[in-house]
Amino acid sequence: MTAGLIRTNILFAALLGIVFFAPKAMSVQSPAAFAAVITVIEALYLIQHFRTGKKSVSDIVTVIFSFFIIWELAVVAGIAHPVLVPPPENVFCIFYLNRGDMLEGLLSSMSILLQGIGTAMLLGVFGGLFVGYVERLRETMLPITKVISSIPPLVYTPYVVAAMPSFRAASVFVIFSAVFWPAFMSMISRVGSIDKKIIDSARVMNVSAPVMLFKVILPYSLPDVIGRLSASLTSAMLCLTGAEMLGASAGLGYFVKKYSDYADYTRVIAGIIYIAVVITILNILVAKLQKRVIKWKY
Amino acid sequence: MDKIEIKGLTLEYRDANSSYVALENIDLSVKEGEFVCIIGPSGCGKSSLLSVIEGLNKPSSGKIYIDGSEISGPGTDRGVVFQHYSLFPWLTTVGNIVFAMKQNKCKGSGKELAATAREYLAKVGLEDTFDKYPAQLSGGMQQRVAIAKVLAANAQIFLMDEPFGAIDPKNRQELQELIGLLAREEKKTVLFVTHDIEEAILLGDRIIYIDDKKIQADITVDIEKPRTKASLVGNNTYTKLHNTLMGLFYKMVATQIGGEEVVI
Repeated sequence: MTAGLIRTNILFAALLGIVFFAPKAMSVQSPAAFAAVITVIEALYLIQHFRTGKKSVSDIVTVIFSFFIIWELAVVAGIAHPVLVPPPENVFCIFYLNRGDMLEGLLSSMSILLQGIGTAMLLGVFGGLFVGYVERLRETMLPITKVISSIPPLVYTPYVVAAMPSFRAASVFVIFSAVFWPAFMSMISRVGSIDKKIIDSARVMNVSAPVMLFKVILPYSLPDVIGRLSASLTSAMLCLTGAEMLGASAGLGYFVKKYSDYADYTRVIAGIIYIAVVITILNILVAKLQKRVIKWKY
Repeated sequence: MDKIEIKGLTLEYRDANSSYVALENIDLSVKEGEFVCIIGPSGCGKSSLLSVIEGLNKPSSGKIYIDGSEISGPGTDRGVVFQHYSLFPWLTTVGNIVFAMKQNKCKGSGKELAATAREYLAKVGLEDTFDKYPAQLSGGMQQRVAIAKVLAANAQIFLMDEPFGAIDPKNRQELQELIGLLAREEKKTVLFVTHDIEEAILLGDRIIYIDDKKIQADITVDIEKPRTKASLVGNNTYTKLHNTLMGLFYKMVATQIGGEEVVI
């Protein structure tokens, strides 16, 4: 038993104690959902702890549990603002009560996200490969691309939402631009700066142009682009949720926006936590993808 | 008929505002199965000569024939080993060899080619690196893979540009013995660029000394093969040859420093 393990478990027990037995000043819904969430965190923590034995795992969980305890105590003591700081029991209950809405929002956001990122990566990688390979095109497009990709996509989001026929098309377009330009630019410059020795060792094997492009330059350049995927994902999520708060009728951002308009901050907080969890899961998936695709180091 | 024949080769590098003659009127013929070492001081043009034979540079004038037909660019009849990056870092050792074999139109399914690749890796002493990436191997092991690659691709001519220049002495000696043995066994014609006199004498049937853009000396190494570093110690022919080549090198040093007499 390490000190970290003892500490976190005391906090876990204390938290559950407060959740189930402390008298609450305001109306509180069933603590089942919140208790389940805490228990899942504890279970994941125990698995990680015994698998890795890292101190940082205990420290992170200590921070999370402490945060919940402070939140709970603020509610119990009655010092929390009843509208702005709802009890955590109520917030986590939303995941159960609004599960249909939330799932629908997730599916809507994810389908837009995948379409935007998918087309952007495909066009960015293959377009960049071709443009980077032809010197004259490269010299023309690189400066132009640098300017365009430096525009924060959030800036033109309202304009695109207004200009495009449907909200969905606008969102896909915004995400496409947020991901395409950086991917396109990094691909062009990576292809343009490929080590001449790599090219030479391919040339002496008398490779054809397609082999040179797809079997030599593409695999050489891909790690760079895939490496930027998590940054692209973050900026795509930013644009998407931003756009959804402007004019959507579904989606993760829409969920948060709708309930802020009603001043239902219990649901707003639940929505924010939901978005954080979704982005974290997406980032973990991207990191796994990177590990699979890039097995070599240069 | 000679395996490689070079006639009146001149190479001039040009860009927008300058030009530089790297080789001037080179004539050279190499017989099949011959191991020719090309040596000379840095910047003498020895690597440029190899690059033209590799097909990476086009001659400004003159012609290069292989088996009697003129070459116009890179070809799979020649297998090249550079000092660095002869392997693609994103392919495993087996993947690199299979890539070269496919380029040389070696027949067989992917599995068969991979099996052949493994045989050649075993031949250069790398049985346990089948699915390793180049970055996971030492410099010496990478060069072994590069040698296995040109062997497996069945190139008849090996063009090697200071292949062991960046390898530590112990591994270099092992690699020298390996390439000497394999070239003899497989009857390959080898052009081997080096600036190491000992290496040139150890490996070469002939040594071409290039300096000042031209071939200055063409020396036959009259020492029986196989040679080892140990067997060369105290060998009269070796000592004489070594002195001759040292003389050629040092004269160059003297003229490089503004033509003044420099005593070393």
